[in-house]
Amino acid sequence: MCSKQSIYRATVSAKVAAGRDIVLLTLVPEAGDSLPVAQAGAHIDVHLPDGGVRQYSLLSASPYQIAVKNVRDGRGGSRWLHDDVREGDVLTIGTPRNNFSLRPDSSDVLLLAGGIGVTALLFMYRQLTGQGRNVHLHYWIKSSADALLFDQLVGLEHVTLHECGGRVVSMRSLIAQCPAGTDVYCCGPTRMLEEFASITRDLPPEKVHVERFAPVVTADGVTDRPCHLKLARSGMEIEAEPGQTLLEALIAAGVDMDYSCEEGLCGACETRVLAGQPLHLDTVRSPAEHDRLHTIMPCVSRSRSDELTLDL
Amino acid sequence: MALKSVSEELSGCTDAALINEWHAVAYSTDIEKGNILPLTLLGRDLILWRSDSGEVHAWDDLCIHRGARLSKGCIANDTVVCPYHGWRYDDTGSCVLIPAAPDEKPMKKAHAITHSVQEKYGFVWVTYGKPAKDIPPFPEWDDPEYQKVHCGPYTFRSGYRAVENFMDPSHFPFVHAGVNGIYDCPDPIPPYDVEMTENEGLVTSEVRVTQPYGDPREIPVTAYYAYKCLRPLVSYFKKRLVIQRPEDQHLGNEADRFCTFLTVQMVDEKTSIVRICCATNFDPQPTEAEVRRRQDIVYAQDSAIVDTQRPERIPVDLRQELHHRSDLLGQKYRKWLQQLEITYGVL
Ligand code: FES
Ligand code: FES
Ligand SMILES: [Fe+2]
Repeated sequence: MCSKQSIYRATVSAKVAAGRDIVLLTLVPEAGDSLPVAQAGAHIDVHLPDGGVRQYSLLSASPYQIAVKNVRDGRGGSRWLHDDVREGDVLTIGTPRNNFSLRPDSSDVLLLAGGIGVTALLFMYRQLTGQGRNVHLHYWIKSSADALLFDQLVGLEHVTLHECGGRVVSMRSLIAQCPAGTDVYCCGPTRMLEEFASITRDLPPEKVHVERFAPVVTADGVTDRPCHLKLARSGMEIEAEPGQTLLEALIAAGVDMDYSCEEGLCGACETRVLAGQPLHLDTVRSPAEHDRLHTIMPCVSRSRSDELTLDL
Repeated sequence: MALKSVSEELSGCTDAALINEWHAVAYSTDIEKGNILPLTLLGRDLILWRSDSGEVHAWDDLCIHRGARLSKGCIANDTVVCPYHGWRYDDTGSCVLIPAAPDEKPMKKAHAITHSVQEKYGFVWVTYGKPAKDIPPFPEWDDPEYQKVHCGPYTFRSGYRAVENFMDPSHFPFVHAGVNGIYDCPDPIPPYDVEMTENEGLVTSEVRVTQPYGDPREIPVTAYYAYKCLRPLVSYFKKRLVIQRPEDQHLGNEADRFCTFLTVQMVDEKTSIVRICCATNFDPQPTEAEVRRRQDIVYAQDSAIVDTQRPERIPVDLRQELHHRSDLLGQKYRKWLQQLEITYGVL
């Protein structure tokens, strides 16, 4: 029997409300089958009836649980899961993938969550506290009714709920206060992630972890933050404009680049980074590995700093 | 008036990176005393012959007198005899007899066009130039624990595509279904590392694959391939094997390794000859026939597909074909060919 398939069929064994406009789906393997092992931070693809695919973080791995916030003006995935899917229905899902895994050797861990982004962080929180590790979860919520699993979270040790009416305040001071060497994980709405990126710009990159499904990258795969590129070897300076990938900007400026997939999947465009802090959005390597090797895939990746110096 | 020399006219490839490299062009056992072996390397025709001293010699297949092919001649008294006017060349390449003037000492310029030769790992290696690096390492060759079996020759069109294919585990389930992989259950290729090293070329970390018939024992194994692309036309892997079924465990042990050292002779830009040497330290060792039978199957499957790849001249610019992360080794290989400024057989 093949155990390495990438598509699985999972039965919805429970569907319960877990906050305003939030449902919690429990997924179990179809009879006689099993689902792959997943780690905290992993997400799965959920296949929609119209052929679309959406990613959801796992809240727990055994059984799989996903929390779905109904986005009324979204692309329809969450609405279908909310309105049409029932207990006993069978969903097609993908192998769990993890771009947001916990570093095994971190001493202190700070988890920063906003909105439904808390899902992955709550999984991490449970795992870390289970191991007796030093962890604190901060969760910014509009109101108690809008939080995921508010009743379970309130009063938990090492969890702080910030009722903030939707504005993420005090993140900067929380990060400033944590001991040096703390690993910081953040998942939440785009605005929160952007603020997080600017706050953590000077921290060692291997300590900073973000989960993004599509936040900085707009629908057509480009970003809206400009970036100034300095090319160390040729001495050229290039602006990557909003709406342009770094690779496109380099090619437009006449730089002879290697590339192939243009989607961050192949590794052909790999370029060495001499200065600046890249924001890695490819799947060729983990961000930590990139930072260790000082590499970037300019076809999809961007910058956390305003400027990047490349070995070109 | 610009004069084009005979040797320019007949020289074939002129890429420094290929000229200044050792090329395996025969198995040592191919060359017996008394015979002349003709062959073509990089578009240039050669002969190989073994003199009484036991040494192998590689010369242009050309008599300096009127350009006849020495390969059509014969060996007599430890000399090569040209078929046309009977000039005889000794094992240093010097002409020692012009039968039309038997009492005269042949002129100094009457000399075969000779090339350096080495015999190593059971192959004969030839170079046209001055290689900066020696023939690459094949550590198992000197390790008595390992049984060595030469297999091939296998013909391929593009030598580079043959090398790239040799280092590409993601084709196993399709091209070698039921042997090196499972068609209905292809292994995902997890990310692996590729590093450029000084003497061993491109070196990878282990890549794990499932093989239902992974070696001459014909039992399912989990195999871990560690590749080294030693030179543009020499590649190698060391495969670690873990026997899958409990009832087969007695057929091997943890230290089992299956290594292959692969060489490519580029005959011309679209014709190549692959020769390999397999090294195993199994206990008990498979027979040579068992090793060869399986290699013959696998390489026939490979050439059947590799020879359909177009264009035959491999595109080294990564923009020209579509790569995936799992092809990282192939990408680095093409990049390397490009950096070496190789133009022969590439696009
Ligand atoms: S072009 Fe494929 S990773 Fe950038
Ligand atoms: S699938 Fe790779 S060449 Fe056809
Ligand atoms: Fe193959």
